[in-house]
Amino acid sequence: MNTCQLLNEYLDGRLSRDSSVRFERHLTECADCALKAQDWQTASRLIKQDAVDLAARQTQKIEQERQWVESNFEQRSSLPWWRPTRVGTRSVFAAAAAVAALIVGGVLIYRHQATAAVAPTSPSTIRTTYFHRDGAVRKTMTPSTGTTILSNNDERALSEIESDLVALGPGGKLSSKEADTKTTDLVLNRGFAAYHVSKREKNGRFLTHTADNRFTIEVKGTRFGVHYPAGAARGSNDRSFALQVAVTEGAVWVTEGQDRPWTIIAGQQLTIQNDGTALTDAISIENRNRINALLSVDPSTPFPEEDVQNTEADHPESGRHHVASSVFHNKGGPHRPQQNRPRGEVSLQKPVPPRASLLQIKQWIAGGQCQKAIPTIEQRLTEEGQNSELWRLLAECRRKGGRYRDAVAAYRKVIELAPTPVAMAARFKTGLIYQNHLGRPADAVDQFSKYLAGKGPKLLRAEALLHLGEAELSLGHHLEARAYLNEVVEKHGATAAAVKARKRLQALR
Amino acid sequence: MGTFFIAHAIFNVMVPLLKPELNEKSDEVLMDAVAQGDAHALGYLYLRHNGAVRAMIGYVAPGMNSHDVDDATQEVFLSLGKAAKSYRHQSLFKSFLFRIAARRARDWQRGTWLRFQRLRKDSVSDAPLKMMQTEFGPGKKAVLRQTVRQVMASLSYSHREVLVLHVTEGFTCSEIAEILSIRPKTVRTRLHRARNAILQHKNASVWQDAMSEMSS
Repeated sequence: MNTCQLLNEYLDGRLSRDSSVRFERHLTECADCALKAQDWQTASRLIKQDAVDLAARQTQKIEQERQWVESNFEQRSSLPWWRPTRVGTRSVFAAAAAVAALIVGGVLIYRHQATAAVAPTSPSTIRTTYFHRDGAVRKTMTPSTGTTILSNNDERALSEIESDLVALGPGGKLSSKEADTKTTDLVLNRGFAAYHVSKREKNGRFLTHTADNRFTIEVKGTRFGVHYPAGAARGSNDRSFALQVAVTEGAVWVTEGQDRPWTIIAGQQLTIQNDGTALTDAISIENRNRINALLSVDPSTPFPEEDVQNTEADHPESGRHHVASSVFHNKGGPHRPQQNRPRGEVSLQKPVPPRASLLQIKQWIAGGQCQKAIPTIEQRLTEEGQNSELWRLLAECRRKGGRYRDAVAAYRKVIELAPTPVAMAARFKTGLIYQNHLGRPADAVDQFSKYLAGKGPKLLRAEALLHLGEAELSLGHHLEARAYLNEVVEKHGATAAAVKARKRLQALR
Repeated sequence: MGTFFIAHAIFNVMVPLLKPELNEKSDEVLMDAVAQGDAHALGYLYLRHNGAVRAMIGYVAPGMNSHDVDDATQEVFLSLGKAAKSYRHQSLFKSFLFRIAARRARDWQRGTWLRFQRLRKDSVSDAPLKMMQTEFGPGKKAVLRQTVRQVMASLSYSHREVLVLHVTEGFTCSEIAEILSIRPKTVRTRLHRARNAILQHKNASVWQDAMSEMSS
């Protein structure tokens, strides 16, 4: 065996003592092996030194991390074996969706600060989960001191304070003030906060102040009254109305059958007439008094006199109110105001959509008459549920009307039912909606990736790569983003997408 | 409130000093304590080994930013705590620890690889270097460090993994085989190929420059 072939074993340290001695003698005779051995020793030393640099951390940071590891170890050790030890992305997003239902937009970041300036409201019950932009959990903390919440541009956080949820968006800051056990009192220093507040104890409050103490935001509950008059169940025409719902606090949704719900917010009441028309008006004094009287903790509070009269069927006019200003429509449904109604009064009625051909529908859509086309499409879909073209047209209408979630749902049906080229085009549009309108870059990446993997129209491949790169950037995946953008530039150099990709790459450098 | 913070400082800073006996225990004994639920023992293990784990993860997954490396390092120790009960002294503690670290780094890399799989390799290899460039300051040593990282990043993941364990932690081939759950022969092959790739790298002259730099 050629002695030079033992170089690797020598450098591995696997040669016996005698063999090592013989090889070292060989190194004095073979310049090539000697050079390689020397280079390798130098490289090893450099790598080790660099590893020391990589490992170097500030003492304070290490100490903080050690505390985090210990506290999380204790936390996770106390959970039963069947409890997941990380907050699942889906479960947290389900909660976050409820938060978003109250307030649109950003999320707060909650970071434990050992030097926080204020004491916590209930430190032992505050649990914060940090998320990356793509929704993956970064860490979970249960701070023992301080409640100053800071956010940077790459993180989100969701804090569980007792049974409430508080979330802070990028660049935000929130802190808690000293308060009694029934009250949660927060200060929003900057940024966007979202809240999901549970039922408070008696006399409990949930408050947020602005940093300058100029504004106070308080959460109220939901108080509303429902009036279902006698005779309504048997369809008697003697009743004054079919249903009335009045809201004094919060918001209430009323659904009739499978229709989309009406929304009634605090200070309004909805009256559904016997003929099915709906009126919305400011809440009447009678209804307000009625709600407050019934909900009063003092059982001796009398009911208003008008309550007794309004429940009688021989006052048909008592339930009709004039519309003062705004009118609430059944959301998204095919409603339109009736003609020839008394001044100040608007009623809503569901028209029966005419059956139209696909050509007619397409002409409506091209002419900007999506509201006319939608009922027809929906009507036809009840009979032709597997018609991918109808789903595509519905998706287009929804998209143009700004109903992006519905558009995505319709495009999914197209992807499921349509032949490949049409399905791929639908996938492309779904990706655009996720990226540009719904703020879901991870889903956008999924759609564009599948588009590129499938047999989509080549004309759109450059655009798809560009959007894929931008979606990866939104997720903070710079490596992937650069790779996709480079591919656009290199493979589709003459396109508008390549121009945009070049600009993006320059901005990233 | 001042009392509150003083108490917190005492607890979090002084406790390690209040338990000096932990500092003298071996890793294996500390692991036994962790298996009994002793969080402070885990904290001591963290203090001792977080640097090595961080360096290993940072090297084998150069695409991770420093926050990701921090997270991964902490997660490794949490996983270590969780697995403490299954540690039966059948291997050295460091082998056990680095097995967890290697798995964590590989999971991250696999997630990234799935996104990269349709791309050309050479469009990827430059990217880690560009990310690393922001970490280095001025000076020749910084340039050397940059070049070392560039060379390491140019290796394949499996080669880099073996090389880092061998060079920075001094694991033998059989120990690396145990850590990565591969055959010792595979370890040797990968190590040799990694070594050859480094020595034949286009920047091989950097080692000579480094030699003169280090001796100056």
